[in-house]
Amino acid sequence: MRKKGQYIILDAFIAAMMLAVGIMLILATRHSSSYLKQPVIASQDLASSLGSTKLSDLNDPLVLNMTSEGIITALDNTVLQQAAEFYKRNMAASAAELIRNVSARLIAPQYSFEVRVNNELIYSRASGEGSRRNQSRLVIASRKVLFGVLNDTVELWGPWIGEVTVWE
Amino acid sequence: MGSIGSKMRRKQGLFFTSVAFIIVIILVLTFSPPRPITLAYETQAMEARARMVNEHTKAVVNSYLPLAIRISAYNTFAALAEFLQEKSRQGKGKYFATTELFNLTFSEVMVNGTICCDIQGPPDWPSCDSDVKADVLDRSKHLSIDDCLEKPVMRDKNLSILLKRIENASFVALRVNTSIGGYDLKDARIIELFQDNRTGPWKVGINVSVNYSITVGDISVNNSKNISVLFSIEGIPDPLYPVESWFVDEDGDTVTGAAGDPDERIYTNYFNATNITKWNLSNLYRQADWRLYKHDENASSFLMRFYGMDERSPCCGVESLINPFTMETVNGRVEKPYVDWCYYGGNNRCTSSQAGSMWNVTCMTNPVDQDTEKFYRFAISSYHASQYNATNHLYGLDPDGAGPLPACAETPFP
Repeated sequence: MRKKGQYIILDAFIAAMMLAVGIMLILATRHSSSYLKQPVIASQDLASSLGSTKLSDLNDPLVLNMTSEGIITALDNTVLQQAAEFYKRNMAASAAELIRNVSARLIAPQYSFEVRVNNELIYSRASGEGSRRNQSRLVIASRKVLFGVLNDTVELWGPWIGEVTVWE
Repeated sequence: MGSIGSKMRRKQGLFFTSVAFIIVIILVLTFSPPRPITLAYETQAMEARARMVNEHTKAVVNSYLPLAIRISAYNTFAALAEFLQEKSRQGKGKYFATTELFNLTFSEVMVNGTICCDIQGPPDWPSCDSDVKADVLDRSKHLSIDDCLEKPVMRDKNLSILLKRIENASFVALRVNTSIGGYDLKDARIIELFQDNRTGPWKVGINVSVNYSITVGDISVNNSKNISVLFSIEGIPDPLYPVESWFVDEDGDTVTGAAGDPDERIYTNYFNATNITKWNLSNLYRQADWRLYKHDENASSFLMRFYGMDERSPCCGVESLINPFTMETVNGRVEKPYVDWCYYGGNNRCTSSQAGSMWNVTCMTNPVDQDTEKFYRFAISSYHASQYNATNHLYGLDPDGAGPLPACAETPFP
């Protein structure tokens, strides 16, 4: 009877271990899947928002202020287009300020990201100290072709490559 | 008994392990992510590529192409205004011989940046006559318009270069193969210019038919589209001024010899619409001083000025005032109203219909001093006096400047 009891306990223990390992495996697989998907979605959302939202659709005090000061002249531009136009006009600080202001509510704070136009860094945000792109397990980049005219004239800029890169 | 007990223990053990095993399998089947199925993955990837091609096609066709057409067409007008100026300066005729030749030349400059250049240049330039259709169609005789004018007017803004740029950028950024073209430059109808009620006087319309193909992997969009673009004419040189001012005889042939010889002076003016809507004497003065344009239904339109047509355009006629202070050879010898289409128009539409109704304007006309005072012998017709609300400020035309001047009715003026 003592031996029987031991077998039952051993059997139950093995069964419990099997259940625990099974559940852990399932959770690990699911977590890994979401770990992969979230930065992809975040990157695409950020690139899509910056690349398709027109300045006229934003109720942003900075945009309104820049418009009233004549710094922004075409409200039909998208955010990324306007940043590229600033880059063309050698107004790097305005480009960075615009991206920082608009992106603040678009992407969760744990993500780091940077925006490049024509391979030149326009704006970069690190989620915390030591958050480096080359140390990240996953870096997702979305690209758009950017072009426009200066001040509604016939001076064309672009087409340039706008790149939004997100990492965690 | 020993063997029965052993069997029991084995059965008991098998029971618990089996239950746990079954539960784990159920959990795995229920909660684990589905294994990647090749077709599903392929469908997802294809959907992403299709979405990207779709977005890119929209951006290229709806945004970039109209922009590129606008930029190249605008610069083509500027280049052809310069070309017409040089052509008349070298005695090769004032405008293009026919509207068709203008359209063919316009299309070629806009699409390729080349032209049948009959402006005299270095001996190695090919011989070409821009008024002969065979030459206009023979591209082996053509030069880059910038080489022809010996100045950078079009630079790299012809349509082919602008389209090549988007093709390259699309491939580098998105690995999308983009191809846009399909022009037959021997067909004058591939690019259609127009001005009508849709454009009004301050814009010009252009229709361009393009074929495009955008491909990523096995997804491809092939289509053709007629793209219509309206753009502002602000800043384009007015060909009427340089072409016609070259041939006017205002100096009484004291400078250039025989009677009727042209003065060979070139004046330029750029299309720039006035924002004045309420006319009075002060605003008439400003209009002449600033050399701005206003809409007038009897004037010729922007496009007509390139075609060399002196006709009225009710929808789109524009006019500016001749400024004898800036245009120093204008001295009253040409007794025509100081309105560009009256002064330079080949059909004499103002003088023939309104002979004997030319007037000086109080406060404005300076009958004495051409060099220091504005505006020497400035005159307008009765029609224009009414258009500019200056009917009450006219006095009889007196080319000699004799007699007392009427007092200026407006103070301060302007």
